[in-house]
Amino acid sequence: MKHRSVIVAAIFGVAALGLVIVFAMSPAGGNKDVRSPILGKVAPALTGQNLHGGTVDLDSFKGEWVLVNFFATWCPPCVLEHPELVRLSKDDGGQLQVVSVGFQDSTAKVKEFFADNGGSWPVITGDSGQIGLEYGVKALPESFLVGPNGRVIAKFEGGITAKQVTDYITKAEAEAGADTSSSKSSQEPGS
Amino acid sequence: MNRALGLTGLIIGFGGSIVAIFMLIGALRTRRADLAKMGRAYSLVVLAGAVLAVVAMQLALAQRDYTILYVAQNGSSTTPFLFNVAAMWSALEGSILLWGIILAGYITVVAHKVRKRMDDPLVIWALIVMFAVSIFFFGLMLTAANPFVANSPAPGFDGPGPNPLLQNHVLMAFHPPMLYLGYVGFTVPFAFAIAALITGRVGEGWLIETRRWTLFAWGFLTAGIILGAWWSYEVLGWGGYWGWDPVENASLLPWLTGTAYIHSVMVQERRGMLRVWNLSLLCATFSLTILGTFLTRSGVVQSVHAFTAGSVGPLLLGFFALIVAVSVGLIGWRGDQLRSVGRIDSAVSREGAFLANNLVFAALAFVVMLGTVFPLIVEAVAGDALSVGPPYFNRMTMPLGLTLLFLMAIAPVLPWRKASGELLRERLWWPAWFGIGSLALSVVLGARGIAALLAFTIGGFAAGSAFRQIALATRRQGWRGLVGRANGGMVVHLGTIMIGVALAASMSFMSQGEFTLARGETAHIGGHTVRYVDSHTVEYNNRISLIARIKVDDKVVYEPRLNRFRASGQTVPTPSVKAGPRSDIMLSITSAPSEDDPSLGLRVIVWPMVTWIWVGGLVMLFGTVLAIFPGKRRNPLQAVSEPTPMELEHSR
Amino acid sequence: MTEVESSASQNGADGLGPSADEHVGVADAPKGASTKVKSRRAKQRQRWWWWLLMAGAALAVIVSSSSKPPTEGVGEERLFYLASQLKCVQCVGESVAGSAAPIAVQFRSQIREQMGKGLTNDEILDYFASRYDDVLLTPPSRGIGSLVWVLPVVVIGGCALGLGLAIRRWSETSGQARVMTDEDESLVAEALADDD
Repeated sequence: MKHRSVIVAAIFGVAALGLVIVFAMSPAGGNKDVRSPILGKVAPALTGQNLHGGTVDLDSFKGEWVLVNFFATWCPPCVLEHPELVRLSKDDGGQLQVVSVGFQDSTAKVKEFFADNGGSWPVITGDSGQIGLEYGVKALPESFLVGPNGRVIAKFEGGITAKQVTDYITKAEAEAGADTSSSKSSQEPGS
Repeated sequence: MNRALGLTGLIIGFGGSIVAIFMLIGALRTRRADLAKMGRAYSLVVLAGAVLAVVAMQLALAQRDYTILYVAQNGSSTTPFLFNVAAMWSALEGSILLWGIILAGYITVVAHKVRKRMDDPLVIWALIVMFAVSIFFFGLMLTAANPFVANSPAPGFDGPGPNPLLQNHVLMAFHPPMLYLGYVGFTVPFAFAIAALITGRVGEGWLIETRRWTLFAWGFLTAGIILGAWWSYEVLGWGGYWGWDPVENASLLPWLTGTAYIHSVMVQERRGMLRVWNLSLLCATFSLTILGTFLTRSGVVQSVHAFTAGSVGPLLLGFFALIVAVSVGLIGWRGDQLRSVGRIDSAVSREGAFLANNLVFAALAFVVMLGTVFPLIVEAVAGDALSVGPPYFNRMTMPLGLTLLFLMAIAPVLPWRKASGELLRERLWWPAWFGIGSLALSVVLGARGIAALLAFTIGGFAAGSAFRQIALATRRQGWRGLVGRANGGMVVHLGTIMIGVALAASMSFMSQGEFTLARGETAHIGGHTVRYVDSHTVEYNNRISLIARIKVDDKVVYEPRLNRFRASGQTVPTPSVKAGPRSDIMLSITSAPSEDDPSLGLRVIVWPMVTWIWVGGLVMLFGTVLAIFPGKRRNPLQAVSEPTPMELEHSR
Repeated sequence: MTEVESSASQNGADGLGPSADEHVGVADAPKGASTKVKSRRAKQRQRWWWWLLMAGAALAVIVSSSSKPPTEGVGEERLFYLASQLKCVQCVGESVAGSAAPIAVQFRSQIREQMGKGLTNDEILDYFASRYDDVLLTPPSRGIGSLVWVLPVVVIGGCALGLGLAIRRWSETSGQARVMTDEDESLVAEALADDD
């Protein structure tokens, strides 16, 4: 009988110990890795009306790095992030093609926002909620880095900085270079 | 000034607990009774410290003393009086302070109750354990969760006030104290259990000592959980009363093990069996309250109720690990003395039913625990992210819940030791008809669906059993047939059955819809019509409210609100609920009318029978109070198992 | 043997309510009847076929009324059923059905649209699962996630089996010492009830 109670106590002790270890290992709120099922996949189609009437199509930027940014004028971190996007944007003298999607926002407000805060890259507004779901947008702002091969390379949740994005591209290009030079490349043709 | 006062209080509490432990251990070693006799005095010192700290915090909150960081973060000049008092437990540090004063209160009452028996090692050890717990919590407040951290506010600074969700309803002022009275209350039986293990007096004496304390803590925990459900129903509105949120689960876990204990302890009192099991249940209950606090405070799991992280997490986790290690170690060490005296004669007996009940409660606790921590385990082991949500919990707990209802029907009529089939059939005859009647009634009223009908039938069966017991007891004993553990227990059963049936009904037959209504427009849902009359805004001290007037069935006017809190800028809807015996109608504004779009976004939910959850809760509490009153006089030591002479000596 | 007797006497003597139950057999029976001869009605209650009939009828009614979550159409009921299976990715602890957050509103309008296109429930849920990481509130039944379903069944089943076997062993060992039959015992119970 003594043996049995010792064994049962030991089982409970080990189970509780395991639990403690799992808890101790778990990062406390907010530090979780950014994950998305669409990473590495071909970026979902992105077409729509530009602010000024023309059409925007992600496919037309194939062959270059594109940052797809989801934002809204009513979202404070999006407003904070905006100058960084201006710094990045090729259309405003930066080195990267930026495409923005106004999520659940009115065209008039977005137009006013861009007029006030600068930025001349393509912006899709209007019925854009569907696009957000296609990309798996959880909370604004969110940005997706699409590689020259048309695949989603990275996802950024929350406000980004220009440096964060350019560093990422430099790293990815260096890796891709090393990859193709070594052997079996998993890269798509055209990368 | 307030800060100095508060810190002094904390230091007195911390120091007092340490001194108390030294004195009590000294008393044990030197066998000097005079040292132990001071137990009550030590507890009063600790209580005085806790009261001083709480008074300082309340003064600081009342004066909006922003030189204290906690007040700067949780106070605001616009917060109304009641919520300003409740601001003390609306964030991490203050809620630990609440924990501290409740613990000090419990220690003082226990020390007072046992003041004449301070020469008994069991009692001394129990007090030592309680003071040790108190050292931990006061230590926590002096280090990682200090409520009196200094702050130098800019001139004209005004705080944001408590979280808007927490200022939205009066219930928030009462839910945490209730819950904590329950959580902390389990310290007392736990302390006696550990003391019994240490002194080796693991017989039935310590059980009788703590029976009422356990019921008391259990009652408050029940009240706290139900108030919490009510709060989320009234305030969150959309998600209903129970969302299987990690923090809600954390409060449910000790309740499950505590409820299992309340039942299985009767087997030990009567038959001397299940000693290891009962000790384990108590230790599990107390450690689960600490684990629950850890989950709420560490930010490991995401939850509506969770407070932001800090260095509190590792400390609480360490304390949890310590409690488990001590409990498991002691139970393993005393294993040989914990051998049962009695044995079970038949599965069809009262004790057999209690065993089944314990199995189901343990299973429920296991499922809830597994579902809560499973995402963390998968993340740690495989690196995958997955969610375990309400569909999982509902599917897993429903069969277990129905089994419990069924046991509730059978168990009360079972005699101890062994029951014959004939006896069972005789006693269950009317309860069974009650079940059939309830099934017929619900079918006639239009209820469909296997789960709901099973719940109604078995619920009726169980209610029949409980009524039968109450009727027989009152017929024999008059009003005394209502008090005492077993009779009060039947009233608690009735409350539980009400809640079970109401849960089944509200989950199965709820209907909901979302509408966009222009002024004067009507929508139809669940046999009701909903018409948007008009809306206006009202400015309050701390918020601006949009109030819409909605006419339901062309009679009753509902006024759901959308509040925008000035201090934080957050928008929080206040749903409008009108309760009825058959169903509640809940209206909640989803989008306010604007200049562009004058129509109102409205969500309508028709919840059947929800009122009966709260009524059931009240009945449970009433039953608990009845159970705490002593029933027919009976020598508690007249148990079946022969106690050893030593136990007889001490537990009187 | 002595142990059985002494405890049986305590059964009747103590004051706990339910054990007051030992009085019941008598209290329910008509006053004039002796404790040995029961009235016809009381006997009827004990016929097993009455119970079988009762259970059978109840089960038949219950099973025949089964209802399943809606699988087609564009009704609100189906919308909220599907929405309750999805986690609101922006909120904490809320489902898409239970949230007022903008993203949840967007999810619901997407579900509405897909219901309109005639997609099945699984197709609609898969649409979200292939875009969001841990959006399904029901853990998967394959891979490591299936453990959350299997473990409780194994552990609870194992415990139930163990408990059943233990009780059987206990009752067998104590049964050897026993000469009383069930009938004897209920007679004792009734006789004791009379004493009170």
